[in-house]
Amino acid sequence: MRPKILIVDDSMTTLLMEEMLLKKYTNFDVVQARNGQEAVKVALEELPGLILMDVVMPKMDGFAACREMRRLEKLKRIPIILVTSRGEAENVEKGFESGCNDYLTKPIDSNELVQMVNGYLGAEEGR
Amino acid sequence: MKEKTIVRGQTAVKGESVATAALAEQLETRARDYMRRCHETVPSVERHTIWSRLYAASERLSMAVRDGDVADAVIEIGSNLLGCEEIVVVELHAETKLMSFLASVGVSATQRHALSSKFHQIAAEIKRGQARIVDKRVAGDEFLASIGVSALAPLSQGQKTGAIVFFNLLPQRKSFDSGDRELLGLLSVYVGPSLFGT
Repeated sequence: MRPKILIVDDSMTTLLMEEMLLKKYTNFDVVQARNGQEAVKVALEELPGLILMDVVMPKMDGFAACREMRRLEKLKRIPIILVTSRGEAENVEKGFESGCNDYLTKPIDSNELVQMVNGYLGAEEGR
Repeated sequence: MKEKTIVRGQTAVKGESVATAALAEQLETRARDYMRRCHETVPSVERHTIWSRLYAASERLSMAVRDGDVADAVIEIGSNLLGCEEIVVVELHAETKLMSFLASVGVSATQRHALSSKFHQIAAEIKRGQARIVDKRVAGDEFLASIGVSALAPLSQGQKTGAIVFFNLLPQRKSFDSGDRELLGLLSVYVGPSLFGT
């Protein structure tokens, strides 16, 4: 079974773009969640190799989900990239405080996304 | 043709109409084409991002056409693919000279008033017929620039007209660019028929 990337966003548009790019340019399968709460549940079930997660979402936002994942033994070492429409310094700082490893700003640049993801997954995993 | 009811930008579908199915299929074809273009190149090629955004927008719109939530999908596409969280979708009613706000995000009462109080000017901008990125230095863009509009995608279907109006961009985006123009064009072509048609 191939390892997985978990993509989390309440926007179907963003999920479509991320899924298309990640399926093509990494050797990982893609699983999805639509909010932070669901992301924690799916992450515990799937144990992905990397999590790409939006910040502003219903039920549980990306910061809270990130903190929760860092609290859980099974998830604490999985790299998390936060994807935010708010790229101001305070938001970026809040992201790192919540335990994320990196962040991307929307609108997503396909090259930036693929490079960052493959950087975390290891060059040998990229196509 | 199957039965269908349209209420203010919300399409209640009892069965998909031929026109809806045709529109969704056109968008799916475009989505496949943009995906193919992406896959034929590599992400470091500049146009890759444009194609991947066009792919996501076409695919999302095709789903929205079938689900009857096109106005909401437009807001989502604008927020996520264009970096604008001040968007309004309007319909113009020529007989009453009034404007309906079909969907919006982040738009203030002042911005709404700026639009609704300038019915004739907005109607004239829509009549120009092409998606536009507003540049206050360009002749002809003064009016839209004066009310804070950064881009406008005209919508039409038969006698019905409207527009997707974009105000301020998110801080990380200085202005719309040529890649955005293609996405605005896609919205302009497909959103009118799906909101006002069928």
